[in-house]
Amino acid sequence: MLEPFIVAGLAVGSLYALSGVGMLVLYRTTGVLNLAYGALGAMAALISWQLLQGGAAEWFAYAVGVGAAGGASLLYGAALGPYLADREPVVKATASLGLALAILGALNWYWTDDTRTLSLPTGTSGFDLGDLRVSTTQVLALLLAVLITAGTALYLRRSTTGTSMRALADDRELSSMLGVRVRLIESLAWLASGVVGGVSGLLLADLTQLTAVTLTFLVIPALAACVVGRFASLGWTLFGGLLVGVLEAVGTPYDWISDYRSAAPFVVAIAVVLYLQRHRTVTIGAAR
Amino acid sequence: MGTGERATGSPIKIRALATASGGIDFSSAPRSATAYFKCVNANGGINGRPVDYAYEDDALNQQKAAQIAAKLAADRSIVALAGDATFIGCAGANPIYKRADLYSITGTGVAQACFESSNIAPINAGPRISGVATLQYLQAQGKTSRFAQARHNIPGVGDWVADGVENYAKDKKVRIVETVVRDATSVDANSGILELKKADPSAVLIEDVGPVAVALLKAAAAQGLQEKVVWSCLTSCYDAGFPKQVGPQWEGFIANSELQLVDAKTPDNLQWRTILQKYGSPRDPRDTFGQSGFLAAKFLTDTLLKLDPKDITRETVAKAVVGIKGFKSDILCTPWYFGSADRHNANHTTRMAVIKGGKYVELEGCKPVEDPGLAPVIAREQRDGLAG
Repeated sequence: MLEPFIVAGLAVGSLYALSGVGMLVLYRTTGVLNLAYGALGAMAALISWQLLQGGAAEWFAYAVGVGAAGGASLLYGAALGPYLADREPVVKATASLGLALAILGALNWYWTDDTRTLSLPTGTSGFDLGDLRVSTTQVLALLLAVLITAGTALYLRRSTTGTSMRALADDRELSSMLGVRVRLIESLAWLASGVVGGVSGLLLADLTQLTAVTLTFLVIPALAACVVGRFASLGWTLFGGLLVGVLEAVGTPYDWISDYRSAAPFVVAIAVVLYLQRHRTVTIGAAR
Repeated sequence: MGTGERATGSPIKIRALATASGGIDFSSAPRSATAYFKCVNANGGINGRPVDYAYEDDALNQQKAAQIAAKLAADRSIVALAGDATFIGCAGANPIYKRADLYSITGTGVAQACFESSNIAPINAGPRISGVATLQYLQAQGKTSRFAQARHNIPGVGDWVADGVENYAKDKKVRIVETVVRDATSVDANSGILELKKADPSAVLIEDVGPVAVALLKAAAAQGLQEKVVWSCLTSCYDAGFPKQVGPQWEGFIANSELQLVDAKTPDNLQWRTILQKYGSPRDPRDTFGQSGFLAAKFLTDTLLKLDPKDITRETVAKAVVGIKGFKSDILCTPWYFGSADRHNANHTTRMAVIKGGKYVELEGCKPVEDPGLAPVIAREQRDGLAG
């Protein structure tokens, strides 16, 4: 009875996972938790939509949209990255929140909240699974999430750039002394993360709604996925994203919980944090 | 007015409260009202006095809306409000307006509170009437053997609309086989459609905003529900761009229209479009809620023109606004009134539209909506001779 909801949840969850992985790679390389991740996806989707309305070829529209997200991310990282490098994580995250709000404001100003839809060519094809129709976009989302997670893990472990990224994650200054080209590697991480954000935005716009606000807040389930991965493990981030997506969807048929489905990312994140703290003793000291 | 010369006297201050940011841009009504007042000012104004009109954005924040309402109420030089369109502000604003004797000819009301207030009267019919009207149409066409609705869970809107639809269904013995409730912050349209699919409905009414409706229709098409089910929506889906966005496979999709069809060639509707063309911006939406802002501005202007231009104060305007009745326009189906009451829903006769040939065309002309909840409104109309 729940199978259709699990399939629907896996599709959306894959995109949460994909975004989580993109955010994690950037976080591990630069220490920046990019809260503008969803906004970059929204930008990619809306730019692609605009080009398609103007009669552009599909591949061109999607490439420009994703390229714009990657470019904006790269630009932000290259311009502000060095200034943020030595700041505390919370300052870095807050700075990215500024970017999120700026992008969201610009998108809302230019595109307003009119009715729009973005249908990828993969949205109309698919196959039947019992009573349920599964679209190619849904399959693609899951495949992409798994492939990008596996590919990124492999890349970080095997390639020189990947090794440099891991080195940066451990110690930025030491890496630079060892000859790692810090600015270049960081810029690459910003670019790659922006591109993955753009792809997630396009797929999400197809599977859900094409509105700037909806896509911008994609960052919340993606963050929950990162929490499941403890901001370190790509595999667990993938699992976290899928878990949030499935939990959101399977609550639908139950009236007592269906109103609270969007709390799924928070519930998952809190549960993981509590679980990880289970052996820690909390000491409450009086302020003197 | 009508002199063709710019008004130069002392300005008459009129304001509006609208939700223009915060995730929803709901400023169609005050934008059209702005264009209308610009036209008034360029053509002699209110017996020589120009209108100083502006709208304030509550940014979808109830506290901010209440603060703006208090500020507007405290500024006694503001004589009235027109073309308001706040998504969340009516409930907090009305008691403030009431204490300050400030009246609003609201362009677009959405929440229950906008229709159940003493000092606020919307031009549009509201989503509840729009929903009941759509079910009424579907029932008349014999499509409601297994009726289902898809709504959101925003309090005072989603539950209020569904309550109206359910009351009508109960009254007219329509069987509701499923009510899918969407969490307003959820992005997942597929799960809702899967719920509907299980219920095997003959007709579905979407009680949600346009972008969500598009997402639901896309998921419905993917699940093969498009042909089997009659799909319909509130006026929120009646938007000139909607047919193009859903694509040619959704020919036959039905939406209610609380006002005249936006491309109708009737005199007032043409005047609205011409004024937007000349005094508005190309970005001003040409939608139902733009029409309602235009009418709000027009009705207030017509009211002010009847007053002594030297004696236009909040008190004299309040009295004149409450006394509005029998205001006619081809954008409405029946005359509009304000009147003194704690509830205002003068517009409860609507039209139906259908997507045909890639655009919305009229499916059914003006039809009174038989919402059982309107009984007190109709009784008052008859008692006070308001229906004109």
